[in-house]
Order: sequence, then C-alpha cells, then structure tokens
Amino acid sequence: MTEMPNQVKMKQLVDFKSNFLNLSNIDIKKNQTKVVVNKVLTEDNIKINLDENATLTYITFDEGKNEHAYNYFTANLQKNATLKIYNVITTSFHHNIKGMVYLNNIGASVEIINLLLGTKNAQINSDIDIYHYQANTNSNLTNYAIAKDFANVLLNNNATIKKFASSSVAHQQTKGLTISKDAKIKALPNLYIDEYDVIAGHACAIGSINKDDLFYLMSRGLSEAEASKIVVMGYVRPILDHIVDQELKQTIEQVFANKLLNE
Amino acid sequence: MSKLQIKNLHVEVEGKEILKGVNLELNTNEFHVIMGPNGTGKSTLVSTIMGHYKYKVTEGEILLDGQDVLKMSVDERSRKGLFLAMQYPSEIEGVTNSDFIKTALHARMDKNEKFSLIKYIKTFEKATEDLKMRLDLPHRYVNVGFSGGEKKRNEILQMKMLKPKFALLDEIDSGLDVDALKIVGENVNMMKSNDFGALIITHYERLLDYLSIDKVHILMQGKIVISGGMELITKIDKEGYEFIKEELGLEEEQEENKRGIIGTCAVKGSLGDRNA
Repeated sequence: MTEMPNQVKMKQLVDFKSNFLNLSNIDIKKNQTKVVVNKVLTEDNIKINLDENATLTYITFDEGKNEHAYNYFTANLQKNATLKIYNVITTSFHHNIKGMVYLNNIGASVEIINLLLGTKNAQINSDIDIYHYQANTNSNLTNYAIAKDFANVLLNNNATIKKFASSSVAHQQTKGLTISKDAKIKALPNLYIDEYDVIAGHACAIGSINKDDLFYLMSRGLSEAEASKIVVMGYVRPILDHIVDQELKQTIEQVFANKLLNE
Repeated sequence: MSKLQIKNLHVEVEGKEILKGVNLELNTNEFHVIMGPNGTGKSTLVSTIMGHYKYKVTEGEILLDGQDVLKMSVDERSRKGLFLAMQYPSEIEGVTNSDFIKTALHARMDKNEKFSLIKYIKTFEKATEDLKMRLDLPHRYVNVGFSGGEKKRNEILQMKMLKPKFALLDEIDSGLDVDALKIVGENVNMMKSNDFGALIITHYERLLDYLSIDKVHILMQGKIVISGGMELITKIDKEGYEFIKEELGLEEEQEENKRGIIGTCAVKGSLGDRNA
C-alpha cells in the first residue's frame, strides 16, 4: 500500500503490503487528502475511516495473477468526507468485491467506479452496499463490465436511504459488454428508500457491440477491427480519466488492451 | 472531377421494399437536394449508399467514378470519398473527437505518407473556429453529452477534416437553431468545388438559403418522381406535395394491415410469432 498526500506527488507505486505489513485500516484525519493504491488483494477486510472533510481516493488493481482475489472494504464517512473508490479488475479466475459504505454524517459523499474484465472461465462477483444515514449524502456507483469467452460477471448493487436522510442522492449505473455468446453479465440494482425528499435512480445497459456504433466509426474510414477496438476500449477509458498517476494509467491501459484485443 | 451514379436502385428493409428504382447522377461541384414526404426512402437512399447493414440492395447499381460501390465495405466507401452526415450520430465513449478524426485521417493515408501533427492541429483549430464550436468539444468523447445541434456541427467538423468527394447530408439542419443553421450552411457551401459535391436531404427551405443548389429531386413512393430547380421547392413550400401527386397521377399507398403494438404484446399468439 502506498499512502501519499495527493495524487500529483505520487512518484512510485508499491504493493499494498510493501510498506505497511498487515495494515488493514486506512484512517484519514480531519481535512486530510490521501491516495491509496492496493495491488495485493487478500481476504483482509480493509477498514476505511474518514473524518470530517477528509478525502480519500482508494484504487485497487487486480491483474488476475491469483486464482482467488478478494476485494473487501468497509468505509465509514463523517461530515463532508469524500471517498472515491476505483476498482480495476481483470481476471480469468475468481474475484470477489464486497464493499460496505456508511455515509454517517451530513454531506458525506462516495463515488465508486468498477472496471471489470472477465476472460476465459472468470467469475467476478461484486456486492456493494451503500447506506445513507444522514441528510445531503451522495452516492454514485458505476460499473463498466466486460465479459469474454465463458466469463461470468454478477453485479449486486444496493443503496439504502434511511429515514431522515433527506435531500440525499443515490445513483447506480451499469454498462456491460459481452464479447462472446457464452459470456454472461447480470446486474441486480436495488434502491431501498425510506425518505421522501431524495433523488435516486439506476440505469443498466448490457449487450454485445452496438452495430450502429460500428457503422458510424467505419463510415469515417476505420476498419472493422479498428472500430471494434475503439468501442471496446471505450469501456476502459472513462475510469482512466480519474487516475492521475501516468504510470499506473498506462499500465492499466496496456493490460486491458492486451487482454481485450490480443488474447 | 468525380461522379456518383445511382442506377435503378431497389432496396428493402426486413423484407419490405422501400426504394423502387432510384436513378440519380451527381458530379463534384454540384449540390443536389432530395425532398419528399416522410417515410418515402430519403434516409434509406443515403444510408444504402454508405452501406448500412440494415438495407439490402435487391437490384441496381451505385458507381463512384465507375467503380462498384456495392462491392465495397463501409470503411472502403469512406476512404474512396463518400461521407454520410447522420441524422442521429452515435455517441462513442472513450475516444475524443480529435483522436477519432486523427485515426480516420491515418486510415486514408498511404503507407509511406507522413502525418504532420502541426498541420493537423492547425486545420482542426481552424475548422472548429469556422463552425464556432465550443472550445472543449473537440477534446471530449465523440458526441457524448452533446446537444442535438452540437452533434450536427460535429458531423460537419468531421466532413471538413476528412474532405470527402461526396457528402450525403441526412437532415443536417434538424436540431439546429437559426444561427447554427447559418454557420453549418455556409461551411458546407464553402466546400463546393471540383473536388466536392453533396446530396442534401432536408424538409426545410431555410438551410437552402445558404447553399447554392443545382438540382432538386422529389422522392415519393420509393422513386424520384420529378427533378427541377429551386422553383420546385418554392412550389412545394406553397402547395405541399399534393400537387405532384395530382400532376403525376400518383395514388395513395395503402399501409399494410398491422396489429397494434398493444395487441401484439397482449396476444399470446403474437408473442409466439415474434419468438418463432
């Protein structure tokens, strides 16, 4: 794990446990801003605590080297704290994401983006539960999922807005792309609302490559292979916009391009 | 000079014949307009020329400088000099306008040809300036989050950059406000030359105020029923398409008997049919 005051100063990424043996807590103090990158995903449940006005960007990256990878986290956010979680997963094995986020105080906000690529016989499960306990809390959960070969991706998204959490906002989006006829993506979006004055919604689109998109790109002179590459990588690039570190960004792009286009 | 010829073109969609023998000849340095009531096959014609997968050519020919366009793939048609500005352009996440156009230009280059990035940037900036596009638009993902008018301007931006021999403009004026219409019209008109011609589909006369039109064709019931000059548009504007039907003795086409949408969903047998 690497902890740094901000993304701009981040020079080198090291594995999760290289610096902090057995660290399973990430505590961000009042008014602090940190970026944490986790590349060694074990069964440990990472406990994330954000004090008032604290900001954390937590990036996980699984290149799919382990047969079983676990991505567990439980986050507690205090007043006006901001948590951004970017899970970048590509595997041909098993990967489980289990995340619980508690927005415990006014103005707390969480953004989660999952980029999930399953190849061969991969089984990727993502269970994310977000709880809005107080007013003016925000959550935004987005999944970009791609399934190749015989891969299976299951997305279980839950947001709960409790009584008295008025003026809260909860959004869920899933964009899924199946590249073979045997690949499967299933999304289960759930919103549990116990307050009137809130904004909540979910959107989901899962399918194969859109023929009209291919036609559009080809009508500008791009070959079918080039056009398909652009459409597929379109699922990968949005998450890269959130990662400031150029080295990590390039690695992710290369790994995904290689797995999507060459393997 | 280049020539696009359409000879006795018959096209069907899902088994239904839409175009029933269209003949048209367009040269560079010419702007032709196609008008006609809704559902007569105007978009079908231009989409077929570009090679859209939904449209099946059952008879006829399309030739570009004598070469058989129907044998070409969509991307080959583009590289040979055809461009379709679409009514509903796709939104492509993950690739910026600027990178997209650069890739499209690369696709047109010979293997030994060198790409000048500086020249490209200058041309790109000039084109966005001509079209009075918002500064960030070229650097955003292709059409993602664009308004209807911005998407149409973006189509023209691509056209200006790719410099086709023939542009097929499918209702490029819809969704444009009065000022944007003028900008788009003037930009298209500026391109008219011995290297560029256009086939323009529109329902409105206003766009044509900014274009120097050479010929007007009226497409009805899957055929070009009459061709002429701008006087034809003035007459349609006053009298609608009825006078053409009367003059040519065209009969109303009968809609095929179809089950209503509610019926189709509600009747078990219909579901069986659909799933068959």
